[in-house]
Amino acid sequence: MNLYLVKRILALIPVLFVVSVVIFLIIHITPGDPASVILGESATAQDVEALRQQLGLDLPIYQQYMNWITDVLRGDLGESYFMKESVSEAIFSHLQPTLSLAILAQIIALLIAIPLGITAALRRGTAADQTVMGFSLLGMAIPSFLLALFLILLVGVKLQWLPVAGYKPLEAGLWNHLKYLILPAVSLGAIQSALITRMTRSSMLEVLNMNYMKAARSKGVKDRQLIYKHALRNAFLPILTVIGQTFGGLVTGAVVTETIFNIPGIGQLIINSVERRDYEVIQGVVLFVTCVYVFINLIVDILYGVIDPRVRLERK
Amino acid sequence: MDALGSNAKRLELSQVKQTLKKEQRRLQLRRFLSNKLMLTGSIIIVLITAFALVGPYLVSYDPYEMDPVKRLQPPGAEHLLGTDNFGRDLLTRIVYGARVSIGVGFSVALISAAAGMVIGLYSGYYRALDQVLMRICDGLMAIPGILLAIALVAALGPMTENVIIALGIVFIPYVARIVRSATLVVREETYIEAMKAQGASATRIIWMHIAPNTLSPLVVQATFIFADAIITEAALSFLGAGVPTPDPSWGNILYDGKLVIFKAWWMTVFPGILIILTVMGLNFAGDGIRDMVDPHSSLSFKRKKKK
Amino acid sequence: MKASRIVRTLAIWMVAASLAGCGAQTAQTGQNEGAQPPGQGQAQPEPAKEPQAATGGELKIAYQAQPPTLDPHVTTSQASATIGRNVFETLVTADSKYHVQPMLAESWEQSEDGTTITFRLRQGVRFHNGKEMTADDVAASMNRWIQISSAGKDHFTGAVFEAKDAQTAVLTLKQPTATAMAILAYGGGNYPAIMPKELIDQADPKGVKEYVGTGPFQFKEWKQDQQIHLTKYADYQARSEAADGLAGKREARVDDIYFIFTPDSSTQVAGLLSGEFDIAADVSYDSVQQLESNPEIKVDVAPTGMLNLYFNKKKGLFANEKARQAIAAGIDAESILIAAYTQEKYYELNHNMMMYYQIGQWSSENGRESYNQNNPEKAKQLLGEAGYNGEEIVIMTSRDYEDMYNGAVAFQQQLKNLGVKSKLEVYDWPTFTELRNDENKFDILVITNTPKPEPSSLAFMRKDFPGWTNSPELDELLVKFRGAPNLEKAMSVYDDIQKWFYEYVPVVKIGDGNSISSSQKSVEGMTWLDGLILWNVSNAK
Repeated sequence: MNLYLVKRILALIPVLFVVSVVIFLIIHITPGDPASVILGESATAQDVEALRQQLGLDLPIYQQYMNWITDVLRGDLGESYFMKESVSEAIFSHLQPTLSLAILAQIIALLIAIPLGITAALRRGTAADQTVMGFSLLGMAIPSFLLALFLILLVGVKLQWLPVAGYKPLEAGLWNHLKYLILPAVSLGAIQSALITRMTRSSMLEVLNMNYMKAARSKGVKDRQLIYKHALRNAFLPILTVIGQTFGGLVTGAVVTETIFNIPGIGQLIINSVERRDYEVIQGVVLFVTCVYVFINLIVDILYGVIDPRVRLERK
Repeated sequence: MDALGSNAKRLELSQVKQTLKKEQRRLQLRRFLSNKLMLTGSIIIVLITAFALVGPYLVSYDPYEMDPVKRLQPPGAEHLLGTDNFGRDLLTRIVYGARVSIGVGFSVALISAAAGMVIGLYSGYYRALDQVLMRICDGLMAIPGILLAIALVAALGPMTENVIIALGIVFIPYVARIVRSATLVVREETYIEAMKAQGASATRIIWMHIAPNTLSPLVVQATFIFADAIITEAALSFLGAGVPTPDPSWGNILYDGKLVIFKAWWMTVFPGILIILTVMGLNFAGDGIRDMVDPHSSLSFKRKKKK
Repeated sequence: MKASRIVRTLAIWMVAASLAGCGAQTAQTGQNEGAQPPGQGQAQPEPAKEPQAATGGELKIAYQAQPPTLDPHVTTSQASATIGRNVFETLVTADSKYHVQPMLAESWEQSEDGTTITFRLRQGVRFHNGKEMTADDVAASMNRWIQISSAGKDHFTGAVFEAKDAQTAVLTLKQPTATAMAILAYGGGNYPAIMPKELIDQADPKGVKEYVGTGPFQFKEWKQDQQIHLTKYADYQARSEAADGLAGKREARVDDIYFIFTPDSSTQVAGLLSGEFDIAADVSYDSVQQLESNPEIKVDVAPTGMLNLYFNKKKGLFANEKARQAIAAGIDAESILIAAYTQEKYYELNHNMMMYYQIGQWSSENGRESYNQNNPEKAKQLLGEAGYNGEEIVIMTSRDYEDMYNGAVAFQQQLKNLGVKSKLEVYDWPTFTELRNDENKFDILVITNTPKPEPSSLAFMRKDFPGWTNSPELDELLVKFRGAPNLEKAMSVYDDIQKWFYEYVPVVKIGDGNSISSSQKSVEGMTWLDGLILWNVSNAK
């Protein structure tokens, strides 16, 4: 098991290397640079060129990359051209909103999906089942930003129940904090919710038909007990898999959602930094997000192995 | 047996073959028709494609024609779906936008399928290439797709062709992986070894024997990529980083519509509905193909990443 | 099912740990903020209410563009100026009639030959860090401004500030500059702020390391992409004259100002309507209806800039004056302006090179008949004479500014009607600012220019600004203009400059645009001059 872990972690290194090169190249090929943004609308070409030299942006790309990557390996992600903080500080300060958003989306998804999945499984073949399946098909087809726009129109404009944009940190009070995150969380979590619904339903169906369930039922154990003690527990594993595979997607899906709802999280940090060509921040954040993504996949794999001995034994 | 007799037998045989083939085709058609998913999906796709191809001839406005006085009119007699913030007819823009959005989606699916297939086949077959290519693919897949797309389009320039290239690059690794897995499996088959022993060239083996076996998962994946590409193009254009103005695309219309969302819900709702329908159609079709092709995959998940 | 229980507990702990970790992080920053109330918008009672409702409280301003930096010497950004002017002050400033008035300088004298201006400084003015302002600070700040700011480099080449004694600073110009005082008094982007000498010396190319000025508000905190927080400077030394434009008495009538960055217009409007914001600056034109119909909300209009078509005069079709005159003849300015600004009250058809609010100071009758001719026949004829053969011309603009973008789309349509084939390329701002310096990349740019205190500062007058105006006639006129012994004499040259403007056609002026700001009824005293003025503004909430 440990050897497997070590091998997996070692395999990450070339991946991260490729990521760093790819993102560095792409950004530096892009026209426009932080110098012109800093100087503002009426600056001339000469002014911009002068600032570029002072910022070291006219060095050959190879050299700029080496400077950056050696710093990164020492733990220094660099400094933003615009914000008076280091890239690491920027990432941490923008992390809470995204994390809150992702976790809330996950929770909402589960709260919606599991009851729906159970209902559909218990009433298999009925109208209720068809409706739930229909909704889940719809949920898988709507891109999150589209759902966000529809929610804004419906809830924000027609019903006016919730604020349609903005953000308040936790210090402002739990409800205040959550109020601004509900709409974005729902739009982010919809696809997950759809997938988990289907997963729950099929796992439940599988288990409900097993022999030991029939045996328990014939012994007189109440249905509800059966569901919660046995069926749900067995559905837990596949649901966990879905969560693991899509949680990373939640974090990256936050990019568009945060932009729409004006939430100052990692997604908005990236978009704004791209707009300003804040090179160090873009590179640092993409590396960070990639690490998180890869890390989550690793954890899911490990957990999967821990929980299900069959999987563990199957691995070489 | 005399010559006449054998000829008759041959005729009988070919007749039997013909009937068999007809039966086979009929069975396939029945399978196709009874697979409700596949059917619904295909119908939707056909309808929307027709909409995209034929639509421009049925609408009376020009998608670029502006009428500043008539900005932001709600759906009505003169403009069936209303007008946008420049006074352009929304129905016309959506119809022309269908061409762009679907065209982009299709091209991306094609490019990533083709390139992905090549990469997958060769890295599955040659160990050395495998290490290098798969590392690169892993790297590309690790970067969140939409970020990679935004960065690529920013670097290449805001043109529809570049959007296609960028999205192609984003999706190629996924196809490559699938083709590679299939290649790895087929490569171990005894008949491949036998051919190698007989001196068949690598190219022949790869293309004549391994490749056909990778086609089914490839087609399934390509269908889902088609859907994903439409969504990603819409997201890119919505962020202002996709198809450039004033060319219409569904995402573009959403971008213009966001600014006036409280005044003009039609600019958001109509293109949105079309995106959903198209994606649903493609998802159904993809599911259907997969059911027909690989009945064991009920527990696997459709899409590797979410927006 | 032990394993699942383990996993479940693990999961709960992971979540709790990460939230706690983040909480700890933010709690720390909260402590660093000192006695300030944490975060924004917390539902808590106002700090101890003053007896008069006229002072105290806060102003929460929804602001669209986040400035790249608050250091005014470095950036020409207008957003930076509007926010920064509460913190920094200048030697002289402009009143509502754009006359130069004293601010940090008490008085000034120009020498006979016009090459020396001696400033006598106010006594007892303190910076926000407690240090008293002397001529050393003035000299250091002004010399830096001359060296690195656009205006400084353009109009004050070779000029030097020296501290004669603690209260006197002397500006020595290379040649007499009639417009010197007007430029020094400008309150918009790239204004000449006075900062402590030590900060100037320690500054790097990105800007000064701390924002310390002499203004009625001091810089408290900048949460990137969220907000800038300014607080009242208790030891502010106000001038005694009545407030007039940017001049006179400046009083901080609220304790805190928050500039909250809301790039999305619907957020601004929703926030204003719900009371979350007190002021919304630069509201999107389409959102105004909702605001105007609300009795609790005031809507004000202020000039934002001039929409111009810049020609590539270095290369291509428009190096030919006739081609430029052709476009000038064929344009229907009004429909472009409607597309850009949506309603008549948000734009002005103004033939002058300067903006409509500058009429009286900088205006001329010359060129009126050449403006907004809307004559497609004449245009086509001139195009033919210029040798236009149906080539595709490239129009470039930025999608980050609503009026530029919308105006460009409308303009392209009009070109079509003139029989000109064109391609519209829309880029984000950083790409746009880079590409527009390349003469191979465009034929026409659609840009809005910020207004300037005097005509020779207008962007299209510069040889090195995209468009590359190169006219010996203009050079002569500018020499005459700038070298005039005083401003009045300079103004008389303006007539000729505007005549040149309509013959040479460096750019085609479409019109003047306004921006909309909106505030709660409880906000009183807000005015505008080259940006919103937030001192002397009270919030009776």
